Amino acid sequence: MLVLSLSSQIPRAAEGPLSVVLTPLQQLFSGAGSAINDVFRSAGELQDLRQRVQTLQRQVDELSIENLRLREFQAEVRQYRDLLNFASQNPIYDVVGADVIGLSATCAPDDANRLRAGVCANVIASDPSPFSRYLTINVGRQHGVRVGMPVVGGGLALIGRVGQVNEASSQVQLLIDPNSYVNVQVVSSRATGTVAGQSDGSLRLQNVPQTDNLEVDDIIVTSGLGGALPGQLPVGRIERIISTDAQLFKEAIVRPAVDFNRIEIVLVITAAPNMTATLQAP
Amino acid sequence: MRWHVGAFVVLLALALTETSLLPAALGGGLRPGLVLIATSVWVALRGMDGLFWVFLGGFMLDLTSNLPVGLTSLSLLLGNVVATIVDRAPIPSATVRASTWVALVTVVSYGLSIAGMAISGLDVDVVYAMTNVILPLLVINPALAVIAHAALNQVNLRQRRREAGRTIAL
Repeated sequence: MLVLSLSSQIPRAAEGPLSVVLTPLQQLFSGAGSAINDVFRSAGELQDLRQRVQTLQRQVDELSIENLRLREFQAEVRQYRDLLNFASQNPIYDVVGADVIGLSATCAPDDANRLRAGVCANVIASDPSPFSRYLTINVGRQHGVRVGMPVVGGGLALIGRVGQVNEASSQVQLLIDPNSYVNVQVVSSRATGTVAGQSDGSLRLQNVPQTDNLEVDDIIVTSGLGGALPGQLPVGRIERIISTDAQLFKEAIVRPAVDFNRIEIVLVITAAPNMTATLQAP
Repeated sequence: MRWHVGAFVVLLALALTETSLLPAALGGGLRPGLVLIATSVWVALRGMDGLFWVFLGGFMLDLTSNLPVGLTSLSLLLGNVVATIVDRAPIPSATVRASTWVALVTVVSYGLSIAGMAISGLDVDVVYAMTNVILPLLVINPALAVIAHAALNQVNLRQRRREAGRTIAL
């Protein structure tokens, strides 16, 4: 181990140039793997897809009607948003709390505090060790990615954080990694806690005070506490409450918002309100 | 020289298959240690000469791993060294010997990986790792070692003939 720690700097220095060469190869192999997977999956899912098409057609009809109704609401919301932006820019309205600024920041495209940038990336490799859950993506330092930046998938659901950055690629620590801990909040009860990855690939909600309420199907989002991650990113839903009243804190099993086995394209959030990862030196 | 370049390309292809192709094709499930199997079978065939390829294969995996740098290559190396020392029992079949060799390297190298992670301060559920990772791989890796042995044995025989020819020429 002493040898490991002493020699760690030399191979790390070699990773930068090597990643430039390896990344296209990894993309090629990953693409071939996806193609193989697609062939088998599409054959097996044909029947399922037929049923889904019928279901989706019904949903399209319903959503078309709902869309018309939402357009009316949109005009109304725009007015409220203007009011909130005005409030955050005007010192007289200092009494407006940070949540309100955050809401305005997320929604208004021109606000200085808005979610400014995200880098789209493809997943090109997985960690060879069966004991850690990391993905390699094809964006790195040259694309503005830094350690600690959040990585999201479809629906802005949190996938994990950037654990290591090379010149042309980065390694993402998934939420389900046994060494991943994220501060979260239960949407309905506002209870805060920590979501920890488990070896079996599940998520466990921990450190929720006994006085707070937890219900099955409650939605879990990032709390933004500590500034490592922006708030309100979906993490999952409570599947099962596993603690008893005798315990100091409540615990629950969380069903992740994303299928970690089928992640292909991700988005790295490079700048967001109150996110400390953007402040780290390149 | 040409042989070394060819072997390097094959090893790189195996490492990329293990880390990029298989995860994309199989999803997030357990996948065989292709580099471990190929390099360990090569050591079983060639003896200590094969350790260079073990280290190189391990280093390729180290580049894509987030574990401490060197942990994978050192674990693989030590696993093969242990297998070399333990390789005393008379096993009549070369295929069974290679398969047993890979099983031993699987246990030792993954065990050392777990120990290395624990020393580095990383959380690892030892019971889960034993029952859900090492035990299944103790079936998968030695089974694939049979195929690897069939292929690498041919390469080894051709290599031996070439070396014998060179000796006679000298």
